[in-house]
Amino acid sequence: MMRPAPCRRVQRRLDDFAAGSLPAGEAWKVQQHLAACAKCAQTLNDFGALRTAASMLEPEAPPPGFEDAVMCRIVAQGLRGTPWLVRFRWAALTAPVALALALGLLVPRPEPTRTLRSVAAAPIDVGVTRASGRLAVAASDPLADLAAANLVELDGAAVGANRDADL
Amino acid sequence: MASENLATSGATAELDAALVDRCRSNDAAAFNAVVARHKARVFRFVCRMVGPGPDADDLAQETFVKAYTSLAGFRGSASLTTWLFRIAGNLCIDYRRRRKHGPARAVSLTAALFADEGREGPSEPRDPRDGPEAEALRGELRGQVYAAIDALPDKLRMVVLLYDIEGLTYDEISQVVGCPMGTVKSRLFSARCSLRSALSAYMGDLALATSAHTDRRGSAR
Repeated sequence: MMRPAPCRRVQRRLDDFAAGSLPAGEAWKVQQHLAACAKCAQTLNDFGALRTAASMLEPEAPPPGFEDAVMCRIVAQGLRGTPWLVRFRWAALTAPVALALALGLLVPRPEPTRTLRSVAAAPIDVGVTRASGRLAVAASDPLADLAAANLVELDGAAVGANRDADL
Repeated sequence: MASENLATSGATAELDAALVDRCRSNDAAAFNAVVARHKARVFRFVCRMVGPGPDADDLAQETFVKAYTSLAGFRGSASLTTWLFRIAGNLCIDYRRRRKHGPARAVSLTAALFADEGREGPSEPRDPRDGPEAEALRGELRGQVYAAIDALPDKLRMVVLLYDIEGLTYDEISQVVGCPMGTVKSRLFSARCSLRSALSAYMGDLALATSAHTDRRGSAR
């Protein structure tokens, strides 16, 4: 013998029942309950009336020119939203120049390839060119190990000189 | 109502997605098209949430402005309609919270009573079977229903409006309000109980009016 569904449980399913979205078994149980329970049957009617009543509230139409008003607000807000551009316009103008200067100082310029003799003849100036000098020597001279050893000595002197200059 | 449910339409979703893509590349015409497509539903929803009037105009416009500025955050996991309703709902709830501490709103009952088809006041009944008394009764009922919905807590009102008027599914509503589907069903049930209680004096008239309304719709089709 199947137990009758309690009213509360049935009433919570009335919207789905009315929409026909309950599984067949559950819908059958609700149907059975409604046939026997006048209170729940009345609730089903009331909920249906409320649904229709809500849909009877006819829609207000948006005022004419709604899209234009939205676009105007977007434009206006775009101007309002960037006051920092106005306030710091001097920074906005000078920042690209400062950036260009900084990049010009930091980015290494290509160095001409040095041979062992030229390296030996001229002192190495800064650390940035050290690696390229070493590679060029290693690739072009069979006496690479000796040259590299020389370079290390020369570099040490150059770096030491730079450190002194910095101090 | 079901045919009006844009959120579930695949073709609509595809068109919306294409428009959103164009909007992201700063295509103003595409965003204009988005506004044109969704303004009626958003406006209607906002009017039901806060009452018709200049504030509703303002909030509906603000919904689209906010959507425009937040398009980068729209991932497309929900439909554009659902997303717009979410923005509108949050704006309306914020507005009502602010208003609680501010001056009371003047509810345009006239607009609620005679809002159908843009009328601003009573007019001749359309159906010859309806007399002036029936029309007046319908107007009063509309006002009462409006007031009862207006008196619901924000969370309940939003669910009722989205389900009954906008025809969204439970799943879509759960995305709009940001809570599980079970909570949506529970809120809907609570809202129905509150409405029935508030309109208990009118339930008989409502049943008659809604059956007449359904008959008219049926004969119109």
